[in-house]
Amino acid sequence: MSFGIILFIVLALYLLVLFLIGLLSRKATATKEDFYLGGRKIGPWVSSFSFVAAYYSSVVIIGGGGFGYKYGMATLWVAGINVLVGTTLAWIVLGKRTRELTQKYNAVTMPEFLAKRYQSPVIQIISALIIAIFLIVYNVSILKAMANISQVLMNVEYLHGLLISGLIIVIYVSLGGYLAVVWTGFLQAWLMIIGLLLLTFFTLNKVGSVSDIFIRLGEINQNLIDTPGVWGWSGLVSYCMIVSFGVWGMPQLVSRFYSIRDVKVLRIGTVLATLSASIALLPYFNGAVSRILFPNLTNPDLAIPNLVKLVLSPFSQAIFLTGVMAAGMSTFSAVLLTAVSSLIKDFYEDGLQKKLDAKTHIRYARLVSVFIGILSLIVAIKPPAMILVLTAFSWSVIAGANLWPFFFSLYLNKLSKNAGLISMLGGAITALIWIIIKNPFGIHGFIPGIIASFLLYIIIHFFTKNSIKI
Amino acid sequence: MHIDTCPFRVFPIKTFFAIVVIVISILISIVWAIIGHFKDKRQNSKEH
Repeated sequence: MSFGIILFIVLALYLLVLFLIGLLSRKATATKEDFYLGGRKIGPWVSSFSFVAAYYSSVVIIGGGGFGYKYGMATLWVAGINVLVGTTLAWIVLGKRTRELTQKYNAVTMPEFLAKRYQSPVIQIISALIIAIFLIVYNVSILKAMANISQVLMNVEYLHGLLISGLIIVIYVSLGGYLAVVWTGFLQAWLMIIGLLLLTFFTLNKVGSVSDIFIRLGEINQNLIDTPGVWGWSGLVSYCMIVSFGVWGMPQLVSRFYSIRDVKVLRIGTVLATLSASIALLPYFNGAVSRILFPNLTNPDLAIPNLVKLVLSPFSQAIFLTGVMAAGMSTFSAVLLTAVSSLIKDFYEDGLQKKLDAKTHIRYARLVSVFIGILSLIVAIKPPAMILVLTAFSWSVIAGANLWPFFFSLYLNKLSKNAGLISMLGGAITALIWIIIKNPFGIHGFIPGIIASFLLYIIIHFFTKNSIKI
Repeated sequence: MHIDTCPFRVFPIKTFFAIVVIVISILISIVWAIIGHFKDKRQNSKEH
């Protein structure tokens, strides 16, 4: 059987399951809380796996592989910090407080929660706009990764790969809302894990033992196996921080804590999320290994797609491609839902005071998700940079704005409206300007962004009257 | 250029620590879950 037919069968089966989930979820989606949070009834397996699926996506599988190819084994540190800071500590430090306080304040989105905690509708509008605009950039990086793998494995044009993957996601998110996103995220995380394990097994089979790999990579360039290697400390630390600490301010990931059933689920979820997040090692490792097999690739983002084509059988290729599609779709859909909630609920309904009934709200949300999805598709036709570079840009601005105002709103008893607002604007603007002037000293804009946001918050908090209590 | 390797003589030591970080994370999550479980149990028995 040819690869085309196998792929068609595997993809068709997968998509059928997705549409069934979308339709079933549609039946269970009656209220706004159902659409955005699945009714706050999600268990440990689904919560943790959908967190990991939304976190990693095709960006890590394809883009992480691209970074592994370019910078070598030092990128394993990005995976290590992803697990420790981006997953374990995020669940421990943010999980319980977020779950308790979002329920207490009856908030379904991050901007809404910030507005209620700081008693400031302006914070909600600014946070919502930053999230909606910069999540579109993130969507572009996800779509690019999905198109890159389709390009190599399906032998189609970049544009066709882009259209196929993008349209499928937009349709099923607009149907099912949060329930569709978490349940498909659960399924997609498994596909992603199986695909990566298959790839690593057959890559080791092809290239030799782990020690052989390190010797051969070292022969190409010793810096490809050492830390910080070709990257240098500033680049390595910057990326570790963005894609790990950044999680703490990313609404599509933090929202996983709002919907968890109870604290017990949160504990089991922390262990499961940590274990499944450990697979982040594999794309970076495989990307670095592909340098031995394809030493002269001009586009590093094509390293994993080429590796897959070389080492896997047609059936395994089909599973892997479906896994990457799944990974991209899970994140794209989580991101899409967050951008939609920012625009419809936070900006239109709460910010502009235009009240909508539940049915109209969900209908508008579906329309806007189609609009944002198509807008992301249009920008992705000519993507401006490497996958992870786009991701880092988008995360820097969003996390620069939200991270500290959100963190302090969970842990401080008394809050200052001005501290929240100025810290949010200061973090986003500093990160943006630093990136525009091309990251001086090799330090990515995320770092000055969160430092500025932190300092502004602390200074204003201690010099103004803090009247808002939990 | 000489690079120190990990105890298994496979990874350069500084790169090997990235994997150690993952193992530590898994242990932290398990210990945190167990402590939380017993804390809840003790609190429940106090309330009863």
